[in-house]
Amino acid sequence: MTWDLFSAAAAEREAAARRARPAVDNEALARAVAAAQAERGAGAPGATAWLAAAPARGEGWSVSALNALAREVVEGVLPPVWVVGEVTNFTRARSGHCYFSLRDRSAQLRCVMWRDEARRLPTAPAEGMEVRALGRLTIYEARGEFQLVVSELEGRGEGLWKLAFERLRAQLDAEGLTAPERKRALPRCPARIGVVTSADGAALRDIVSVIGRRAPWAELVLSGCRVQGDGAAAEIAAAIGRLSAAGLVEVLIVGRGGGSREDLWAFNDEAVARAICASPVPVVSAVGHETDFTITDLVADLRAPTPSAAAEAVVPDAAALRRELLGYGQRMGLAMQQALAGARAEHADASAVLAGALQRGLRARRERLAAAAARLQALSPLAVLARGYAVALGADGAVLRRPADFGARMPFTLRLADGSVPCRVEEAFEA
Amino acid sequence: MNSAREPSAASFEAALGRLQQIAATLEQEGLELHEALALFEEGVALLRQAEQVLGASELRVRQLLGEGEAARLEPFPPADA
Repeated sequence: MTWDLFSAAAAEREAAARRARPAVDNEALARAVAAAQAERGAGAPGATAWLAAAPARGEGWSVSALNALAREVVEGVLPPVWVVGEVTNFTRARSGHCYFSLRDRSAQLRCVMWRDEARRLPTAPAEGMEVRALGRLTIYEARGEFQLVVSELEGRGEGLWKLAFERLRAQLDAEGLTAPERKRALPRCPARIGVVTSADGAALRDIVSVIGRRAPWAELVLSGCRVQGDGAAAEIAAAIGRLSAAGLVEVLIVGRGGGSREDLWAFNDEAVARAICASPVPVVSAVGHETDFTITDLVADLRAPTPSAAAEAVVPDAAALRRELLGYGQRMGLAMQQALAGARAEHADASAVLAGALQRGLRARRERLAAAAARLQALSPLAVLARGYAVALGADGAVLRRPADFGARMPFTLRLADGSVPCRVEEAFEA
Repeated sequence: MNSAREPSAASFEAALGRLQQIAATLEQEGLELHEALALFEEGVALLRQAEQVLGASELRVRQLLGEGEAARLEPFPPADA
């Protein structure tokens, strides 16, 4: 029968397995683990605990005890190791812990990175990214899962840093915060200059020295902060914010001296970038050396290669200003001289014109007078009388023109050129 | 904020701009003499003021401490350092 056949086969397999099973001395195993533990100085749980957990001969281990035992073995055997592989399924839990796997062509390794270590990651690695992880192997007892507890994770070459930089840059680009048309012009001669950097760093010394030489009339307002290490980015952003809120300065320098990529990392932080974008006055970035390039440089209104260069960029040189002032003085003086000379010339011209006009007026009047006199002369009756003519005037002085004007016995006057003759009509004229 | 230096330093940029404007206007033809004289006088006063600012000898550095209402400026480096 099928059933019988089957049970027979099963019984046969079981018997074979029993024959093959090695004899395990649980007690000896527990002692061995405890001894290994003692050797590497790990106290708990101690040999007695293992002996207590070890099952009696013929019984089995509990799952918990076996997992705990396996964990002890795994943790005891291997020191922390560096592992290389591709990252896959990277997730950051709400708690801040990160979970992922490392893999190569044929195998996978579960990894966990606890919150405190994960916080130091510049960004989450991309899927498939080649990384190197430092961690210690362990077994997650609750699931019996073999895993690597990672304390450091780094991309090959610049991997993670570059990725973090590119991700933030892409985001800021998308928001238009790095656009050239957003860049503001610096004031020419700011009276107050804000500096966000470490109070005891080389950057501040350089800036004070350059501005003190070029523009001693200015005033620096330091908003101090740490510029590297945990929390530095938040401090830098806060220092920018305090200066912005105080509204004291006309331009702002944000930066620090040179350092390793990790030292400069705070200047690639999103909070710092946003604080710069929110600044009401233009910001000059001055991070590290010539070759260092940060997110701060991208969002600032001007990128200076070094703190000293930033200081030179925000104030004009006193000597150049003196030359400029001198230039204005000279131009004004020259223009004024010309204006005065012009006015003098105009005055002279005006006098000449006036005199000329006066003379021309007089001459014309004189001529007109002469002409009028000549015409008067021609019209004068005296001129006619002078030629031998006489005119008869009535008693009332009216000119007597017709014979009818002369009545009988009427007296009248004959007006001659040089006198008058009294006359009387003898006989009235009869028509 | 203290010291008489600040208003002049603050107006320095404005003074420079105005000087440039005055020089350019004076150079134009057809300015009435009394206008030219007034501009010239203003320019000379600005030049004096600017030179006074340029004469400042020592950079002042102060530190912004505290936040919001409590924000204050203190000498830097601190006097007791």
